[in-house]
Amino acid sequence: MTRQLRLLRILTVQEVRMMMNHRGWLFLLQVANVLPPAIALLVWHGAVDQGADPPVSTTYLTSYLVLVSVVAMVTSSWTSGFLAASIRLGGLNSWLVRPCSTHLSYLANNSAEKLLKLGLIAPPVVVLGLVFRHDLRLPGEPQRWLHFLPALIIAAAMTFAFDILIGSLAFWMEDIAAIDRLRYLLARLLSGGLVPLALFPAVFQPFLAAQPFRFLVSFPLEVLLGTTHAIDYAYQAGWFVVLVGGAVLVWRRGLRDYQGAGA
Amino acid sequence: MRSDDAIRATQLTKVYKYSEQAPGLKGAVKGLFKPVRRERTAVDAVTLTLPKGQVIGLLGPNGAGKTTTIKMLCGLLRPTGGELEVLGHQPHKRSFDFLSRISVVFGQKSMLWWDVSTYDSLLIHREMYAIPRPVFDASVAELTERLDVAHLINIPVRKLSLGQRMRCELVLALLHGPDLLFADEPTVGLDVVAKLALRNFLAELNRDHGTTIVLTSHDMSDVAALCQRIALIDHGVIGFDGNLQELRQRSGQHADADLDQVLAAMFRGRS
Repeated sequence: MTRQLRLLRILTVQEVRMMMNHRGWLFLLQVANVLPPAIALLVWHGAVDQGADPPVSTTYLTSYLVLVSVVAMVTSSWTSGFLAASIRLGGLNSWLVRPCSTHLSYLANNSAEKLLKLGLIAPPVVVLGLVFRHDLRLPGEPQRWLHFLPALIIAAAMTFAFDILIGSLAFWMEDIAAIDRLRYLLARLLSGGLVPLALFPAVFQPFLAAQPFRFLVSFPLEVLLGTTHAIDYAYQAGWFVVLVGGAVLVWRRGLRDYQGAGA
Repeated sequence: MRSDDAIRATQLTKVYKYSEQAPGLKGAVKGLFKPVRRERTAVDAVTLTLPKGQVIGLLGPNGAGKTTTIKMLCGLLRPTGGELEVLGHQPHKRSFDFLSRISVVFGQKSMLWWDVSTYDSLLIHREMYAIPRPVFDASVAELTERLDVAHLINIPVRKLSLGQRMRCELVLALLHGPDLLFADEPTVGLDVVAKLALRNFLAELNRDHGTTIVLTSHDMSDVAALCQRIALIDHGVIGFDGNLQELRQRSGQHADADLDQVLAAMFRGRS
């Protein structure tokens, strides 16, 4: 375990070094990530000014939309496509003959990406926060932040497991892009990454509260902003087990059928 | 398995399953609802024992099953049938002990990290294989001197020529001192000088460290220079297992015939 952690550290440092070559592209990516919630903020503020009555307070809405791009970035993963390509083209071969977890390099890649992106996304988010500072309320209680951190880390682990699960389908399928795209669209809508789930019609709320995508983005923010119930932690733990267990099962089953294309 | 055997395969078999699709749109639609499942036996009940310290050349035409055999031996593929033990392990279980004692060089696939220097890749392998610092330093010094790459290891891999890169690949592959090296077409694409340097190095490695080497190559001069033993694979079956002299006799070629002529005679009429 210690060896794997040391290896993860050195691989992450290596990935950061390589990604520094693409820092301009990464910065633009972060600006693009902040734009949708910024537009949503403008639209909602306009609507409230015109007399609309959303089911949540303006301060909740503002705080949520200012922070959502950071949470969505931290809990995102771009592993599925790379993993699928390495299975299909045989790139996995180089990892399977080495004495380390095959997913360590993807984990390092994701960690490095997060480290770099955190630095790059901070300025546009701070600007957004300053523009809407009158309605922004960041919680002062340390307890909220202490609960928020594990919820955020579990959400990131769930997305990574989801990516491994979908990427591993390439053991049997020629192309996983359509499934990946469908998952991405569902996640955009149902995770609360685009619009807070609280703004959906009341009739959908029981479904939205229980479905897995909520726990990838919305839930950590709900924890931070203090709108969760005790049962929600159990839901997140349950979906975590399902996704990680599913990823392990599909990966192990897939390895049995692996054909190691190419040399 | 005797403790002085590196590899022991009995009735080793690998069957690939795939779906066949008829041409055109009609075929695609038909394949969607009623796929035609096929099986292809890539390795068919191969039995092979390799003592430690031996260099064996697996030869055969394209699609003969030699790469599939190597992939099973190094744990990449799970055999469909038969028994396989490599260094006392079942390779497909991919235990740390097994993977720490083997190494694989793919002539057509790089194990080095592309965007950083060879030395950075070596540092990653140091952690991966838990190599103590003094051992690491000594190995790097020895390997880079023997392969004449000391001046290259701090250059990004993408900037190296193919010959330079292959030598760096070998430094990486041998850093942890493997007992068994799988070299899958290691000289492919190299010029004569680079090829000769690589070949000499592998011979020295076997002589000085007793490393067992399993080599596949389409370059018959590699095999003739390095391998004490040759196994010919065709249609997934070992058709010959012996030394070069015995192979010449079997092929009916004269004593001075080179290996290309010998193999052409052996595989003539192959469908």
